[in-house]
Formats: sequence, structure tokens, C-alpha cells
Amino acid sequence: MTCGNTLLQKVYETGFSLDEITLYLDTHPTDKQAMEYYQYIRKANQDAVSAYEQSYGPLMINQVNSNAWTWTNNPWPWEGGM
Amino acid sequence: MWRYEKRLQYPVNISQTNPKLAQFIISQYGGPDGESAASMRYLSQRYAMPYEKGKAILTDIGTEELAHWEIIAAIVHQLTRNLTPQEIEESGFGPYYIDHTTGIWPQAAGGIPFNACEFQSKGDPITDLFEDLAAEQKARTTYDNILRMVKDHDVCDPIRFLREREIVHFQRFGEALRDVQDHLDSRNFYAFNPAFDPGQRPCGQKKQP
Repeated sequence: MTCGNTLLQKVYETGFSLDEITLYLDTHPTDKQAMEYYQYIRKANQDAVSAYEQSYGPLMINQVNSNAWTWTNNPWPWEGGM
Repeated sequence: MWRYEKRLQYPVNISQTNPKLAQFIISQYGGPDGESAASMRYLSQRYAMPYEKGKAILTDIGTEELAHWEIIAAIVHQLTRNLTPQEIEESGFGPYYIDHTTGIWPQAAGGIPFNACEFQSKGDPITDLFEDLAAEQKARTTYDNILRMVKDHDVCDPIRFLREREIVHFQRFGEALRDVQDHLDSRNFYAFNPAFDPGQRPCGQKKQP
């Protein structure tokens, strides 16, 4: 799976890695290696989200980083192209 | 895409169990005017909403309804903790207990299971928003009905919060409806369905001069 936007592609990849490792940690909470990977991917995901948001606007409603309410701006995820 | 925030939108701390009341309140978990129907209604209607304000308000209220659904579950859970078989029998909670013990399951106060027929997604933004306005009022009435039955402040407090949110949502949906109408022909809002035939009119209708 790829999407045309490199910054968003990074959000998809690190976001899914986060989904995977957090489920694994829920059932293996004392796995040190998994915990290290979680810390690594958590940071990578935060960086990817910040980089995307700077160019394309907020991914979450508590991340509107301007004086204008950009949350409502098109496109919305179900419309394709993101 | 959603991520969970590990807190309730409004706190629930109930010290006195009350299985009879739990059976009334569970209607807002899986009943005809409950929070699950509300969330599924708004989140499903988004795909037929052509305008930015409407897409945002359906997304954000649909998300808040999920948080309300969780508050209702927390109330029912706390009202049914540590019950004895005798309490269950005397309170009328028996039929629910037989099928679900004290697990949380979406049903109406009368026992009817949750059903998608309790909401509509019509594919027409005006129709959908009128349904949403009605849904908020129906939920408000249900909370009014519940509040008449509740004497415990620990239960009243979160229920009053939820009731007030219905009124705020009604206001916001009214504004979203006005925004939809502002995009349409003020002489005939129903000339065409902007979700289905955008920019055009159905066969046989001429554009007014």
C-alpha cells in the first residue's frame, strides 16, 4: 500500500506499527524488546504526524495550530486522495 | 481513524447500587433513542454530506456520542456491582441477569435488542439533518424521563450532563442545516439532492430565472 503523499505515507506506516506493537504489548506487557520498539515508533509517529500537519493541517481536533479553524477543511479521509 | 482516550468525558462515581434504575438507563445504551444509534447515525451520514461544516459536525458529534455511550455503560456497570441473587430478584433485574449476568449489552429498557432500524441514513443532507434534530430531542426527552426516576445525586449528575449535551447538539445541527440550505436555492431547497445530483436538477425541472 502506498499513497502519493510521502509525508502521509510515513504517518500511515508509523501509525500501523504503533497499532501492531500496542496490541502485542497489551498481552506481553513485560517484553523489554517490544517496549523499546514502542518508544522508538512512538517518537517516529509523533515526528511523522507533526511534519504532515505542518503542511496539510491537523489530523486530530486538538492539533489545530493556527488562528483559523482549519479542522473543517476538505478533503476528508473518505473522499480518497489521502 | 480513531484512538481511545483513557478517561470518561464526564466522571461517573456511584456508591449506591440500584439494578432497577440500571434497567431504565440501559435504554440510552441500546434503545431507540440511545447513544449507540446516535453515533452510528451521524458517522454513517457523513458520506452523503457535501459541505465542510456538515462533515465536521457529523464527525465530531458522532465521536462525542461514542464517549456518551461509554458514560452510560459506566453508570449501568456501577449500578449493578456486587449484587446478591435476592437483590436481583426483588429489583426486577432477573430477566436481564439470566441472559447477560451483569455484563453490558445494548438493549432498550423493555428488553428489545439494539437494531440499526432505530436510525436512518437517507443519503439526503436535509432529510438526514432533520432526523438528527429529532434524534437529539428524543434523547433529551428520554433523559428527562430518566431524571424523574432518579433520586441519587451520583446518578443525576452525569445524566444531567448528557441531557445538556443533547440540547447543544440540537443547536449545532440546526446551524449545520442552515449552512446546507445556504448552499441551495432559497426558492426551493428540495429542487435537487446535493448528495446525489450535484449542480443539476432532476429531469423536467427548469432553472428559475
